[in-house]
Amino acid sequence: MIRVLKSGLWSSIQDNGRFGYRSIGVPVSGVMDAHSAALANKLIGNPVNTAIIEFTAMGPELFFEKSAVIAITGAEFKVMMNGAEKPLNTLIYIETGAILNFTAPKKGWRGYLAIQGGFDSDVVLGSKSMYQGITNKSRIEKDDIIKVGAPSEILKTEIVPSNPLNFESKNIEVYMGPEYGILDAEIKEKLDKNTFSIHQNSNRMATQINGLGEVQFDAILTAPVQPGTVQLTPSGTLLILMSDAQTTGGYPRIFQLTKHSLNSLAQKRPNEQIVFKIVR
Amino acid sequence: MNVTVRPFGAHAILLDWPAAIDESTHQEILAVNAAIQTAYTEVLVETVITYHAIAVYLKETASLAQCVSQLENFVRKNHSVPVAKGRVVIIPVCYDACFALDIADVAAKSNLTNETLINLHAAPLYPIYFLGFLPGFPYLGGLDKRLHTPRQETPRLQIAAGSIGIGGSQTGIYPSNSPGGWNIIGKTPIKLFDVNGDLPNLLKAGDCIKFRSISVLEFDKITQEIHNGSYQLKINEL
Repeated sequence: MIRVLKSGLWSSIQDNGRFGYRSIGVPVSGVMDAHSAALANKLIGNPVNTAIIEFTAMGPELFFEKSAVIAITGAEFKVMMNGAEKPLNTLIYIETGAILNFTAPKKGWRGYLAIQGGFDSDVVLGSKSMYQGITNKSRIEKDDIIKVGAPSEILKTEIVPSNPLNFESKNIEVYMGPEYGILDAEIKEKLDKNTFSIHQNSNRMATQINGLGEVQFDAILTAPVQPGTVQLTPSGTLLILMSDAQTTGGYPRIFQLTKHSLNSLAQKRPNEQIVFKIVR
Repeated sequence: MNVTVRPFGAHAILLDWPAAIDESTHQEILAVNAAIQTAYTEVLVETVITYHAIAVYLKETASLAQCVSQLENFVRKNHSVPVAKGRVVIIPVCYDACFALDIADVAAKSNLTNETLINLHAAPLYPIYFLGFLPGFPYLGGLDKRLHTPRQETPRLQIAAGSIGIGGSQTGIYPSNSPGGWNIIGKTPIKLFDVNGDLPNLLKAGDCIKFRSISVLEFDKITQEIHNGSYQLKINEL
């Protein structure tokens, strides 16, 4: 069992998402940076869809009532066990009674903590991913007790090369979205040439990007959207939909991020800059 | 069928009908959606339908190009697949001002009495085109033109689950507490979405809704019956 001493800024249990219920309006949810989450699970021999803790900007402080084997990936947090620094992207053996905490990440924005056996939390509609209105809790809070599962399926621990994301690259690769064609040449040029910065009102639902200025376009009828869809709003704000995105939306869908770029974007912090690169 | 088929990212395909809200498009979409569910089980994760589109979400192992060309041929065939016959779900609504925060406002803007407003709102069969926005939120057609009312300029931070609203040319039910900008004209005690139920969602695309006006007293009685598990929802065949 793990006792939560401090929650961090926004920590939650996530797996690869909740599939099969989007037709009734239930978001997919799931880890924001699937690359880092999968790496954490692989390191300790968990199946890649095993639920992990995702934490943002400020990590939680956790008390381990029992010894455990964990791995931490994603943003470059400094990991401390009982005050001693532990490495990222490899196995960490946690002693009984140890306290784990983090200092702010040097690079990146979201960290992932995988544990051998996974977290034994409620499965709702086929997934452990926390989401308001679906699971009991939408995030991990102070004094929560998180149960650890017995490693039912012990895979051989994979020796994987530490292969974290490249946090430096500004490039966000996108496909043209369904409504890209309705944009005028001036907006297309701005989207191609401008550098955009991440707004602080960004969360698991959407990454918000300002800087296009007011734009004129016809509204569209509400249509399907998915994580990675870039919506253009009349104020010129771009909403890049993330894991907790709604299933349908009424703004023009101008781009669709590649999966790799969605992972990269999940690691960008407010005021960090990005540029869009259209791929075909 | 006048449908365009194109990739929507690397693992999804979008089928678009001409942009319109109409019943014949809706019926075609229901039929094609049902056909895709049976014909593409091996590559399919799930589909999402809206007024004029189907998003087909594919497994990452599926070949996108192959699926696009298959679906192009698929939509050219005539899909007279029998879609499960829709149901009419009777939703009891209390239009009393204690729940209907904006009913007086909407009535004034439409030059109607509260009573006429309620009659106009409770009269039609509202087709459910699809669910989206929030878990279990139905996008309905069929609101009487006299009731069309612009959304509130400043959305409320919290609208109670079960609230019935009018936003522009649409009416709908909030399945859960949420912020929202629609004008609230009533409330239902019925739970539209309950993850602990046998089925999480009460309503589905292809069903219709009929509202039935109830008193505050009946609202409380139904609330109690739902709590006891003795309430029987009225569902008719279409």
